[in-house]
Amino acid sequence: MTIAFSLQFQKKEEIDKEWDVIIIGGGPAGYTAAIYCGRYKLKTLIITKDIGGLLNEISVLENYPGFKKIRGSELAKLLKEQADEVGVKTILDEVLRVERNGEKFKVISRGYGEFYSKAVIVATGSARRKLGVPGENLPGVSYCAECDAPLFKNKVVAVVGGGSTAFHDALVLSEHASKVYIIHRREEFRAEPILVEEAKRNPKIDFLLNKVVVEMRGKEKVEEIVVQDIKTNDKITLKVDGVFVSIGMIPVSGLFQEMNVNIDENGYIIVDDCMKTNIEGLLAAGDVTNKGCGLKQVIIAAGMGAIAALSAFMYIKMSKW
Amino acid sequence: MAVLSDSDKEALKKIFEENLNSEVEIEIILDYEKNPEVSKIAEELFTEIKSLSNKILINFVRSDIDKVLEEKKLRIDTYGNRKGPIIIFSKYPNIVWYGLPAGEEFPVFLEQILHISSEHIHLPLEAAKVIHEVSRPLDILIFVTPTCPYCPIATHGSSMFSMVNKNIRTIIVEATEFPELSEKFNVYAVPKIAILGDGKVLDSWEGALPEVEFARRIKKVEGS
Ligand SMILES: Cc1cc2nc3c(=O)[nH]c(=O)nc-3n(C[C@H](O)[C@H](O)[C@H](O)COP(=O)(O)OP(=O)(O)OC[C@H]3O[C@@H](n4cnc5c(N)ncnc54)[C@H](O)[C@@H]3O)c2cc1C
Repeated sequence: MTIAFSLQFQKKEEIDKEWDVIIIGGGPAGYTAAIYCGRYKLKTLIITKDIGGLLNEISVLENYPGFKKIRGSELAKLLKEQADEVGVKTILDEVLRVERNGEKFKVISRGYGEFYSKAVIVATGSARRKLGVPGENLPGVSYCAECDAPLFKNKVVAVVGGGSTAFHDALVLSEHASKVYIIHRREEFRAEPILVEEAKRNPKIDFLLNKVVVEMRGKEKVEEIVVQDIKTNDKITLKVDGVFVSIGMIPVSGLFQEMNVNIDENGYIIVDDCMKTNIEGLLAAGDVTNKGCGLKQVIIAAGMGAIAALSAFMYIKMSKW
Repeated sequence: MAVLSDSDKEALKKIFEENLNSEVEIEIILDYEKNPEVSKIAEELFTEIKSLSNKILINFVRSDIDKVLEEKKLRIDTYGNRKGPIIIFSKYPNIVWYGLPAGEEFPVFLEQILHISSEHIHLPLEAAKVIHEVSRPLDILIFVTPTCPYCPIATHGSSMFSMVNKNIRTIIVEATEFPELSEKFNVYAVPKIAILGDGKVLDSWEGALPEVEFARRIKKVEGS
């Protein structure tokens, strides 16, 4: 058992209402933007539901330059520490609404109420897509393998999907479960080949290809899933103790639709090369945006965060939009 | 073999030196009969922690677990738990750990020590206000795993609630160490939170809520 620790202190204090920049979302895009904003001497607040966003679901991050291997949650802590050091304030809360309020933005959060800022950086990332099949709401259907894998010790689980995230989930689960099925609707995978090779070598992982899950069943929790072959339409029932859904992500942009922010047909916030949206003073960065050639990765999100911070600085201090 | 690494020990020693005001007494109820392996780790871990500061008082309890649980009025029977190790803060017996605070939970546990030592409550004002008004004894069960990075949001919040109001008892359960309990509460995703009053589940959900929302949810079920 390894016991790691790091301590974070926050004194109880009244939180200012007026800020230069409010960043919504504390994943790699949000925290990188925060570190840059802090260094640009902008008075910066991050409002986020958690520290690190999807970083928390990465058991080992092996493709972030400079770190051969790092736990995602460890990197999240380092990012927050670095932002703390340059004076950025973090509060854990959910943003419910953003409004343009004359020259300023009004940001309304569930717990703390209203805040005002000159610029807003949206870094709300994305959330796991649901399958949309009957039974999906049963207990035992999970979307975070990193969190829940230990609960499936010596159990049989299925992972649905064929991207890097699905393979990541399957590999994490194989450390605990007795058997892991990867169910994918094609024969080829979008996942990084290095992950696919590792999964193929793993004796606990079995592949069910050209197949889709059409139903999940169980009394109090998921007990079996119905899997259909897309070529023959044959159906089989598979006994499982848990199902992990990894069929891609959907951007968390709903909040900004009401504000008339331009959003593309897949829900991504449309930004230019400087991360500007169509609304003056409103920037977006990371997985929630339409940039990055569809490569949804930590390094890309972080890069966009840095650019968004520069644009916020130019806007606030140099009056340039 | 030591449980904590030398560098962790050094860092911890410094943290305790700089931050501990008054003494903090912690009771560790060991259970060599039913859970020898984890009890052994618990004893080693807390012996090491104790050696790092004279302000941390560790009290190992080794008598019959059923009897101890009865004496401590842990009303644990309601939840079907008759196993250790269990960790209780003497000054705040309403903050309880079933199992060891490992992995992602270790920082939360250390913070509890520091917060209790300094009587410092770290919560948004609004959350503290809401919790302060809860007048009915409630148990907040929080099921966690050592690898769950979202769980500390819930465990930290609830333990602060317990410091604000003695009516709130926080019981943090290491789900993989207490499979029977996890099964009873249908824990298939963590953090899983269950609010109990008089031994009955009044509300339960999966996922960590920000403190203010968490506080309001507790207040809301109080009357049910
Ligand atoms: C299982 C898994 C494995 C992965 N493995 C890798 C890998 O190996 N390498 C790699 O580079 N990438 C990997 N990724 C992808 C990587 O995690 C993401 O690309 C990256 O985290 C995106 O960063 P982001 O800051 O844009 O968004 P996110 O990390 O999604 O963060 C969004 C943040 O916004 C917050 N938020 C959302 N809505 C609100 C609101 N209304 N109010 C307040 N806060 C809000 C969330 O709480 C969160 O903190 C993996 C992803 C998953 C799921």
